[in-house]
Amino acid sequence: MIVIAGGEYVPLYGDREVPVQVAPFRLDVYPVTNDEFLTFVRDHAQWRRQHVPPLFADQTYLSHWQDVLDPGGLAPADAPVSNVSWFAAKAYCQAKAKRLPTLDEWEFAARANEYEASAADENAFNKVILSWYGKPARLPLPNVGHSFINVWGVWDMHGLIWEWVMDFNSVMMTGESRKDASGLDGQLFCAAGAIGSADPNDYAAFMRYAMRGSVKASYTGQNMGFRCAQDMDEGILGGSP
Amino acid sequence: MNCRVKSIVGLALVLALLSSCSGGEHDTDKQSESAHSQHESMQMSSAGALSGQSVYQLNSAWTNQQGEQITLNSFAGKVVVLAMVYTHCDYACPRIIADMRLIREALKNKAGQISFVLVSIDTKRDTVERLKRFGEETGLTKQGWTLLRGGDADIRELAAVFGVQYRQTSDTDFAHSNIITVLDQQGEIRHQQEGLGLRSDATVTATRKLLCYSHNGRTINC
Repeated sequence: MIVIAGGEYVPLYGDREVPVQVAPFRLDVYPVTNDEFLTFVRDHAQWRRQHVPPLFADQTYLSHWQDVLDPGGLAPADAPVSNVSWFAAKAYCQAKAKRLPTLDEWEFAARANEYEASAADENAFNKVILSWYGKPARLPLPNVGHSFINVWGVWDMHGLIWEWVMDFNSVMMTGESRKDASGLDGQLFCAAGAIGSADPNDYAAFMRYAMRGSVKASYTGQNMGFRCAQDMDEGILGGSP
Repeated sequence: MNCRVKSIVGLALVLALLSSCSGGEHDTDKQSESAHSQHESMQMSSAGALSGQSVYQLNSAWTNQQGEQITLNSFAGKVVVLAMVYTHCDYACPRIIADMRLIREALKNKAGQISFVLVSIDTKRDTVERLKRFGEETGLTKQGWTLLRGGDADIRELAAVFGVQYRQTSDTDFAHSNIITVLDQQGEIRHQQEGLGLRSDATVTATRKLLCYSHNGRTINC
């Protein structure tokens, strides 16, 4: 794991005048691989695809694996594991004495390109991200260490998979407490207003928020994986480099 | 560019990218149908065990307004009408609670078989004392009302199970989905009412249906 020093950033949602503080945290250098996830399902039989209850993962959970304990050709050992639900991702991280990153932590770390911690305003950077979003994912996915290493030392924040975050369900697409029940979230969709006018570079972030707002915790997708994070005061136990 | 048009294009693209996700709609009728068939098949295969759709598979610990520690499966055997709220909320939550009261009123001859549960999303301010006082001040003291507080990760997980989205928007406020969920006696989601200002008839009907039983081939008590 690598320490992300933390800092402040202005997220896509909310009051755009007030930055969000992100405390220092540790983040996995790579997304979790098929090989790592295989070890996990060996040790935790309840997360094998024939055992996992439908509450925790839908029908396509690990469906591209050749067999229950054999990822096979569509899931190379060092490729990121995909077709995993939020519950499975959370359980994996817990088993490593880690946790999923929060949405703010993930977005904060994902703002970095090869050269600077905050490249979210770089046109070229956002173009690369958006062009990847436009490409359909094909199995097998490339091995981790595929796209680029950012200035924090973290690989593949963009350009390999979509990633689960702990509070993916904090993105409000409908009915907010202080608004009427009918509309899309004005804050998001016209922050969004910001996307349309003030800051077109937020469009890549908008895509991620829209994705998070559209999935449920049991969903799995062939290009949706995860990596783990850890609080600074937790000892580093096991897991990825 | 018009932000709404652009948003929709973006969302469509995202959904296309995630096309291998199964489902995607929020059709609770379908959900409860599949939950139901799942439930029946599970019951046939292993009587007594929790079905794969049961929310009672979660082993998170909660504290009620009396300060007692409980797990969710302590509601097993009753029909549960549940919402996630916070007690300092001055707009949506009172309306959700009002809806739940109306549902309770409509089903008052069955009240003993139904638990009405409010789960707080505000870990900081909704202490046991606060929940108790709030229950007393708002008349939620009758038998069957439970107010729960829990840890952040457990609240996040419960919300994920119910498809409830929430986010703290300031020191004092949360944005959250307005959803009332009905669980059957085994803890499966059988109905969800989403939004404010709706009639709760469908929720009442769905809840009542769960309290029917068969006797000599006739359905009774619906």
